[in-house]
Amino acid sequence: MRCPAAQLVYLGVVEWFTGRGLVVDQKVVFLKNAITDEVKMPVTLPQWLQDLRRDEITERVGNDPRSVGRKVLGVDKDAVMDEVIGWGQADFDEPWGTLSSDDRVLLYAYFLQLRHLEELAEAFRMLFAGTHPNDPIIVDLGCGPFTGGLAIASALGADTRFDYVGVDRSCAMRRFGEQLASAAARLDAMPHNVRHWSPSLASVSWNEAPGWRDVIVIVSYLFASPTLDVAALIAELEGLLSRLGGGRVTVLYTNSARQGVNLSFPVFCDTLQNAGFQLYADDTGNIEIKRRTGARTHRLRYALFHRDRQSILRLGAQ
Amino acid sequence: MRLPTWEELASVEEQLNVLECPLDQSLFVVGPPGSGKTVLAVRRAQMVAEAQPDVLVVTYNRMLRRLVALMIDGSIEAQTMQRFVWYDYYDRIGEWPPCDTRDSFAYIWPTMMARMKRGQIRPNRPHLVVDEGQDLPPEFFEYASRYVARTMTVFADEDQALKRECTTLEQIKQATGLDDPAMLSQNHRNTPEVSRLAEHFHSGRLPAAAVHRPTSGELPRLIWSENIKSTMTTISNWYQNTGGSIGIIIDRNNMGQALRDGLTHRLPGVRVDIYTHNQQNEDTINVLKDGITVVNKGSAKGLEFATVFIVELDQFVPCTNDMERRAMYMMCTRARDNLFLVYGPGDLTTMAVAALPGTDVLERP
Repeated sequence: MRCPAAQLVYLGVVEWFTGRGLVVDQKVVFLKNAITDEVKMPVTLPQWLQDLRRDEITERVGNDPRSVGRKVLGVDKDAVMDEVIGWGQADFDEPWGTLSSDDRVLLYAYFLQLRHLEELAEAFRMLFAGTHPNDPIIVDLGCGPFTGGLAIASALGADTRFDYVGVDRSCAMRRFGEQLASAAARLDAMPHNVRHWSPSLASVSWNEAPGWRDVIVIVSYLFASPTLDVAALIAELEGLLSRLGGGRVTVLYTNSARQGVNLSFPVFCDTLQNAGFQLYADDTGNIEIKRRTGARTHRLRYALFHRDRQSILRLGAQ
Repeated sequence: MRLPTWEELASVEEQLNVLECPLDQSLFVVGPPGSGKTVLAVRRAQMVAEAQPDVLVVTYNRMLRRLVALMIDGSIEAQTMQRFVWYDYYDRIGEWPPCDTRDSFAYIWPTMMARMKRGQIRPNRPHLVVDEGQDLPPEFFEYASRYVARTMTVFADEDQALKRECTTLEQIKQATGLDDPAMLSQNHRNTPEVSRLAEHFHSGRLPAAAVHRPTSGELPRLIWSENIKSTMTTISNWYQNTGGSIGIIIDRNNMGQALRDGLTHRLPGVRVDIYTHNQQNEDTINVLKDGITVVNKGSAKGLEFATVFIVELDQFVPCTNDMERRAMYMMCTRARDNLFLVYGPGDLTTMAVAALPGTDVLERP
């Protein structure tokens, strides 16, 4: 994975590019080759996060009496991805066969969350290399079980302070996310962070007056959903952003590299740019991940958008 | 009073953007308390005045008009909206403006504007600068943009509006044709401790300002006072120990008068002033000098003091609606360094206590 502009955007050093001929008419138009050093080292999650996953996910699945042989929680492994968790797109609030909604979420975390965590942790490591955001607000769209929160703490340190807005239509996902966050706090990770869980952007409970805090929006694997209305999503996101304030907003997009699941990306990209965001990275890349069977390369699609703090208050029509 | 120098102002980019806006161009600026709106209003008026005379600065309340007058040292005209319109209309129409029979401060704007239109009145000033525009009626902006000045600079913060019927930013924009407002985002006045208490009462859509000053280690304090004498003792001791400028914000003028009289007696040789609307004595008060100034909440708008005592706290909390929250927000942000919330002799109600922040923000007795 290459995330060339990310940290530079964050540091506000866009001028860096001008000396390398990468800025044309004050707009970054081509960043693909800005940094050529592909990440070769496998992504390593911090020990507290490995412990958390072991205690709350892998051992719970492994120690469950229903997990025998090729079966996990009583379901054949081959059926889990397609049928039980639907590659992350299932309706997790519905039971499936003998599995409860909580079982389905646990299986999602068991089979899919680790890779998503590794991707986001690596992206945040690049984004914040050499700097540290000051008490940002993390808005995680389709958050799953606290994946973006765990990833950012993995990259920035377990004591980093942020507000986490986790949006997921699945109540079971949000519930398990809070369970992981509470368990992380017991491991002294993110003990002071405030979490706001919501089924939708429009219903996010945010009682602070608008401010100037940096906002990091995570859009990870959300577009795998074929029913997603991207324009409506961004309109709702803008509604929330205006409630949060006028600070800088960075949007990190990650998804599978498969073509079919990125069909909504052009609309997403155009709508964000029309809302004043600038595109700083748009590419497909690799990260190295480590498994018991050895290291392997994982390919993903990623993009990074950034909008500077708002200098004009947009008034609606009277 | 402590104001940033020109160079300090210019070092702040967003303020520089305001100062560098072409002087023949209208400008709309919103900013939270401490963001420098009044200072920028004065600077912009001064810059315009260097090229064109007859620039006018308009405010809502008389104490802010007085502060502006002190800052510009008489070089530019500063008036309250009420007084300006009264004489402007008379000068140009030849009769006093029509007012509501029950309220001489309530102009009948439609009649006035119809008369101005019939008289084919044209703008006669190059530039009008308005501070705290949210407190002025929307019709004033229509009147001003049609008949007073073609170019306007308006500073506002609707999150500090004290009246239920305040003018919204949209109304100002619609009445004047101004562009969407530029936002000021930096608080140069309050310590982080004071700002945190103020933000507890902040409601509205304008983002809270980022505080520039370092922490002072001095949390705002809640003080119980047995009677007015003990309040006076607290204030006079504070002045004798720290000096500087002290603002006392009261709810009732008779309480303010008693504090003023008692403090004058206890602190001979120290400036102790009270402004009341009935006395209209603002021109005798120099809030830029050290000493004690007693004002009610309506007259505190736009002022700042090193130390502020908000007495009669039980009259201001609990904040049961946005207007009352805005009042507490505005009053708290008058304090640069130290802030005291004074109540007593009775206890605060349970609801009032619940309306206050925790001990990490407000030190309790």
